[in-house]
Amino acid sequence: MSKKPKKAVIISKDFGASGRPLTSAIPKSLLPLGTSTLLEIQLTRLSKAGFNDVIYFTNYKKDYIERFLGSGSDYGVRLSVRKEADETGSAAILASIADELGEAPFLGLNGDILTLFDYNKLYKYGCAQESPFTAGVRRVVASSTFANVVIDGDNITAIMASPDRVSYILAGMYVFKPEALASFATSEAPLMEGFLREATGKGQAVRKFEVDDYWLDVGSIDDLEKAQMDYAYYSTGADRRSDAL
Amino acid sequence: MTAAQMTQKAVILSGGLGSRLQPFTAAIPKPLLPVGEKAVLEIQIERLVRSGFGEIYLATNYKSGYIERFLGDGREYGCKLTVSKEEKPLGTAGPLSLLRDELTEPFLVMNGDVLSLVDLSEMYAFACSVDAPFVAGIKKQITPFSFGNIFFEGDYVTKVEEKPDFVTYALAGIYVLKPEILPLIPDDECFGIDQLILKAMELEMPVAKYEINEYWLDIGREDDYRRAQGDAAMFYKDGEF
Repeated sequence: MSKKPKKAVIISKDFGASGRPLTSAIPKSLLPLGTSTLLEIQLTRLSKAGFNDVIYFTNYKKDYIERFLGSGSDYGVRLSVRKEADETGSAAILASIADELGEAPFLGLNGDILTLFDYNKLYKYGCAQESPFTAGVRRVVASSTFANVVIDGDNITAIMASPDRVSYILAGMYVFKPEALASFATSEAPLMEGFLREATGKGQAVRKFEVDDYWLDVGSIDDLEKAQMDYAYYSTGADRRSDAL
Repeated sequence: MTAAQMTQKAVILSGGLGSRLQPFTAAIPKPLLPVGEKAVLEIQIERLVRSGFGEIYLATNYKSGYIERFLGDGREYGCKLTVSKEEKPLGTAGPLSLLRDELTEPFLVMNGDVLSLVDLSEMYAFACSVDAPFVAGIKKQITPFSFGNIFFEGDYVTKVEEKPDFVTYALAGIYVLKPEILPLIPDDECFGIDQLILKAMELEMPVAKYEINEYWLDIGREDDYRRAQGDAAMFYKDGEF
């Protein structure tokens, strides 16, 4: 395996000042999960997976986050904290740092994701693809608790179990190859998600990889409460895993 | 500013657990909680430096590593920062026992959770001019009383006071101490500023007060920390803070 440091870019979208009182004082990525924080957990897991070069974009309290985390060395990474110029998290951000990202594929992460998934699995898969875009996807099953009644006029003709509705959502983790960036230099597409929407719209091939491990999108304060419980469970609970959060 | 002024020393008590601000303080030690985009401690340090305190000691315990990493050696703030880490919590006066050799001139002590616009150099100058080894910053606390207060003698009303305020004075968490008070602090023992004041009075050492009339806030409670956010603009205005 190559000794080159693998790069990751995290784009975080904070509630900003519109969050609830205390969560607006403290950036979302530094809200507590036990004695740690979402961002510290992400950095540690990235480092373990060999991503030692991390660029973190935020739209909120950039200076504070930068001071709080320092150089990143305590987490095993070289960290650069940046402010999103336009605060939209647009794909153009990635294009703007194309020079820094260099030739190798890089990992793109949504700052809201708490997961036990091994980033390296996605990365290896993405590197092996011809397509410059690979998106982690998450299978979501919505099951109905009600039986499905088939009617014909006034008659019930059958009663059937309702099928589960299976859909796939974006898991907030991507592998991008540098050549993917060029076409987005002027993109208005918001976040990495819009980046892919634009790519599929242009008929470009986009690969998917299923994220089949613990995964949570901490997009709202209610999700944060769930994240706090899950973190307690995986980091200290009976089910503590060797690769715990 | 003279060279002598630049060597003024201050100690910021930064070791608290911040238990009243759980769960936030489980991840971020209280002195590093943000007010606007700066940490409380950062605001204090910048203000101390502007008031002529060139050497600042941070008395730490809980999550000391985070504090050290956040603030570095002080060069960025134009001062010399030294972390004095307690191996066990020593209270609000106990940490000073670790700095006996450094604190050879009058020095300022400040709680790591206080935000104030008090003129620190004026307070320091006052303390130096007064004959007392301990000068306590105090802040008037006004508690409104929503009833008329009546005074009487026997069956006769002698006086009516319409809705008077209760006025008390609180220890403001900002003090100036002189080296001669240090022997009163025991080694390696949890010892509070309040205990130190009582001990000084027992020994008939004068303890002076300095009233803070300016903005003052203790962020230790959740509603006060929230209030600090609203006040943040004031701290940042024209480099005021």
